[in-house]
Amino acid sequence: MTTPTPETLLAVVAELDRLRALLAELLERSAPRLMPAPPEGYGPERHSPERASYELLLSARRAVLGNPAAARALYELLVAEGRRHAATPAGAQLRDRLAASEAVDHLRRVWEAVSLNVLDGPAAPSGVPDAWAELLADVVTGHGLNEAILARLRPEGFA
Amino acid sequence: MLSDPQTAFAEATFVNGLLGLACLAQAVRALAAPGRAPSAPAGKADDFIHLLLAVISLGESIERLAPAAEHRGPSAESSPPTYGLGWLR
Repeated sequence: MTTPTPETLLAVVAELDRLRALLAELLERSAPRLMPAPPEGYGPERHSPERASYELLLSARRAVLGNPAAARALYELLVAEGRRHAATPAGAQLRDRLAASEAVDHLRRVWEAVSLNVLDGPAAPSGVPDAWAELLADVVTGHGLNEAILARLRPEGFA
Repeated sequence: MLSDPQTAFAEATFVNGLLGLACLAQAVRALAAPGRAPSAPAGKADDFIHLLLAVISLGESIERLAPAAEHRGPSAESSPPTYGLGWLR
């Protein structure tokens, strides 16, 4: 077996990145649309708070679905920071007020619609969350890649 | 090149990022129930609540960087303004 050249290795990396972008695009197309979408427009209304919030949520979804491992790491860092803040008297009071807020309940539903809950649950250290892998499997098998085709792609000896 | 960043662009982007985070933190803080709420059940303060707390905490940390701008000396007054840095100082 010959040792791959640096050019070959870089080509593999480039191909993996292309596949990653394709998967992210497929996930984005398959995910439920965020509703209601503010109207497209040109002029002052284009920069309305509704449009800005909508674009922010869309960007958050792209970041999460396109970079699940990085998003999960950031999520864990933020949650840990939140727990540290909650350990202070002011933080604990704020935590209770947030938990009692009806608006936060609404925001939680928005967050679930944006992230599709792929950041919660188990994940390998420095790896993608299991929920993201399951979502990807659902999307791929829902686009014509059935079990018979997948079986042909697996190396010999793998069920 | 990574070793040769464009200073003005980097400053503007970085400070605008901080501003965005500070604004987001203020928006999240505004969602908190007014007054001192009764202690929530332990299960209610889940990861999502702590995520929001982290955003608020980061926003407050960023805002603590800003007040020093009002105490700049005369030399700073006469120096040409650098894009975005006034807020950070």
